[in-house]
Amino acid sequence: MNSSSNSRLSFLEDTAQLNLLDRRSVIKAQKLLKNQLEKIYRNCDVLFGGLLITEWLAAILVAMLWSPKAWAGIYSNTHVHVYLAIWLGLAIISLPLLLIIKMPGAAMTRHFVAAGQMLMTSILIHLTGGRIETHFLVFATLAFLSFYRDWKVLVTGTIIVAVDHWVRGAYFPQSIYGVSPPQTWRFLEHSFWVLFGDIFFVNWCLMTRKEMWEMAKKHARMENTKELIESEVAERTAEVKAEKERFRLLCSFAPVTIFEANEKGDWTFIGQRWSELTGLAVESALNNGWQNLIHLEDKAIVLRSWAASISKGENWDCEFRIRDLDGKIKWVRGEAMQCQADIESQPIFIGSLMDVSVLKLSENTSKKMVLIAQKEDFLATLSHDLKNPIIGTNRILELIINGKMGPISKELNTIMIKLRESNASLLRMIQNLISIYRYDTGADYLNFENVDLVQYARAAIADITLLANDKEVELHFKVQNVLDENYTVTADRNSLIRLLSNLLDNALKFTPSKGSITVSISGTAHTRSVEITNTGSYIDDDSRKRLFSRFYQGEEGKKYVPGTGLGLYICSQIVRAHNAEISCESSPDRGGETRFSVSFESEKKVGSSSLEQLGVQSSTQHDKVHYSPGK
Amino acid sequence: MRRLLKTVSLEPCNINKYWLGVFIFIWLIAIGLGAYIAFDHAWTPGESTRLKEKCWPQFSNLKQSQKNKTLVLFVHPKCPCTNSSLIELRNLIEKSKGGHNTKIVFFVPGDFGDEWIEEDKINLANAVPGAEIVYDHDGKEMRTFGAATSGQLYIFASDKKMLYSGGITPGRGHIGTNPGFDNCLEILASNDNQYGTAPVFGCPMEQPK
Repeated sequence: MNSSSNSRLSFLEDTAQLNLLDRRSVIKAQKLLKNQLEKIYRNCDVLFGGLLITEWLAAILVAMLWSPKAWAGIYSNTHVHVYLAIWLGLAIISLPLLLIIKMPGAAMTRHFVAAGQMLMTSILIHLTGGRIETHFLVFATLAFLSFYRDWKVLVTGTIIVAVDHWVRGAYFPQSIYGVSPPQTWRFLEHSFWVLFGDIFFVNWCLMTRKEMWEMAKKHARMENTKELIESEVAERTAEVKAEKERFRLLCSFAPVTIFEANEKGDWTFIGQRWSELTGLAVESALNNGWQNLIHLEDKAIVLRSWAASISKGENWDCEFRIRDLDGKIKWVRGEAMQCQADIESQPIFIGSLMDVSVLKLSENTSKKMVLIAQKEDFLATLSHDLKNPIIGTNRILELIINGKMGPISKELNTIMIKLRESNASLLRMIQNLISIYRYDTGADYLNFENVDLVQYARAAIADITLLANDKEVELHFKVQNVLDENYTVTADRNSLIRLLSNLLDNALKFTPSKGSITVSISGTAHTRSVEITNTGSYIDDDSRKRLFSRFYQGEEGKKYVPGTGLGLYICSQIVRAHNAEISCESSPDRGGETRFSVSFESEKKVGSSSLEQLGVQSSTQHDKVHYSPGK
Repeated sequence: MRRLLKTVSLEPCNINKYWLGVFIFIWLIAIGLGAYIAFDHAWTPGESTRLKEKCWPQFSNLKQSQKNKTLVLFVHPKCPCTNSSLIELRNLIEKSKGGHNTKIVFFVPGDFGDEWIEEDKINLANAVPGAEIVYDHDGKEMRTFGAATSGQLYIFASDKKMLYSGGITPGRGHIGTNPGFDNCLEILASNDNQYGTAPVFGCPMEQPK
């Protein structure tokens, strides 16, 4: 049902198109006929122009030969015929010639040409003494006039003849019929023969016009068809051009180098990307030119695989190295597959070359990263496994030192104490490593609480007071007034203690005797900060940049106290986990001064929304939150 | 087809219509005037015979036939109209079935010889069946016969009576049907001694005084 209605619609469309084409053809045919007729009219005008001049000259010649002189006895003078031939002839042809020059192709021109032609015929008849032979020119003139293919012109010519005969028959009968009495109707006899000729000439004109019309229609149809074909061709050409352009863009901007190879494996086309890939002109890759760039170590394998694919018509897939114009080695992946446009055509290979150097690098890096992760996991496991025996050892040492295991000598007790301190140092180191691992990998959750920064700062100061006294370092604590005297920050309690403790330990390490350490608590509308300033030390710019790196120990640090180089790294990890900021300033003035500043955001309304914005997850408790660095 | 023919109209006009109208008017006038001059020249007859008596002139040296009718044509050997007269004479003789005494008298001025007569005219005269060519030196016979216009034909009966005086052409230098020719044909065919006349078209035999 659908197909039949579709075909009917298609037929109607075709018919409509044909009608349109036919209408166009008729209009075009009219134009063609008009042009052709105009051309004929103009050509005939020129022809008759020449004929009229020829007839005029002929008339003069006839007069000069036939009746050059009129005689009276022995005296003579120029014959009237000579004057008539020259002047009357000139008068007759002047108007048709003027119109031929000024209005070529016009209907008026044709009719005056016909009139002039008939009048010139009558002059010639007159000059030749009314010879019957000259009268044939009347019929010849009618035949000539029919060249115009305009039957109306013949009517004009015939009217001139009829009027001439009628007027002369009525008023000068002897001049034309050689008899004296008026011959009013005799002109009809003469005109009849002219009309008899006209029947055939007019018919010929009409037939010719009809033939011209048919020809014009055929020509118009052909032209229309030609235009249709040309427009189709133009459309197809545009499509091909667009396709070509698309293909060019594809070849130029596709992230791979596209190539085409013939059935022998010779590369016949290669995209512009080749130049970007190798720095060489595209032509250099054609035929087997591309093979010259293959790395020597890979060349044999690549060529073997390529030859195998070509001979078997199988897909080609190969990764290999090439050397570009600058000698740089690049990894490329070449792929190709056989395709055939149609059964008759030869199979060809379409393929691509892709620069996979980055992928290769990334692949290598990933492998390295896996190795590092495995190493860190190993270290973490090792650290964790080492911690327990050391703790156990320390407890035993504690029992021995405290005499719970029986009395020991003083020397032995001193050794035991040293051993305990060494173990404690070793344990701290292990704990640091474990902390780093946890912060790095996000293996642990932090318990965020709203804690009083002043309270924890005081506690940290208290922890180092004895050591500071031993080293004769003054400790100062300053609290600047803030709004509502609220120094609460949201932090993991243990991490905060470790942070402050590490920073104070660090300050104490590098503060010389008689120096001072100042801890200041300050705040703004949204932040609360701790500043730990120690005197007597200076950290240069280069060292400051690397201060928070893992295992970094400045030259000064190595001099004072042996350490692991993990203290400040852990501080930076804690600060990062708290979304806080840490900075270090150092000035060489007044013997050197170094200041560490840690800035926390002030107390948050402990709830899900505000903390979640910072990667903090709400706990079930009102003032506790868990933080996962991994999130 | 008719509708198509109507649609195809070509009227390129590169000339001022006013001046074109003027030109056409002048053209028509010029042609009319020229035609009038041509007609006037061609169909204005020449002077007719000066012979008062309608019989064979007494002082003529020409021999008149005693048995048949005698035709005497006077022509000017240089006049273009002579050809027409000679042609028409030949037609007349041929149509009248012959048996007449025909003389063609060529006027030869006194200072000129026979060579003054153009050869083509001699040939035309020779083409007239049974015609005798007479060279009329100094126009003696011409004056005797009173022939004033080239193409003047006389027909005399065997008894010397003049039967016809006039031309046998329709106009100057023209050939074709004309009343003079028809009249002559009738006279030659008839035994009645009826007299006829017609205008003569040709050059004057002598300079008018």
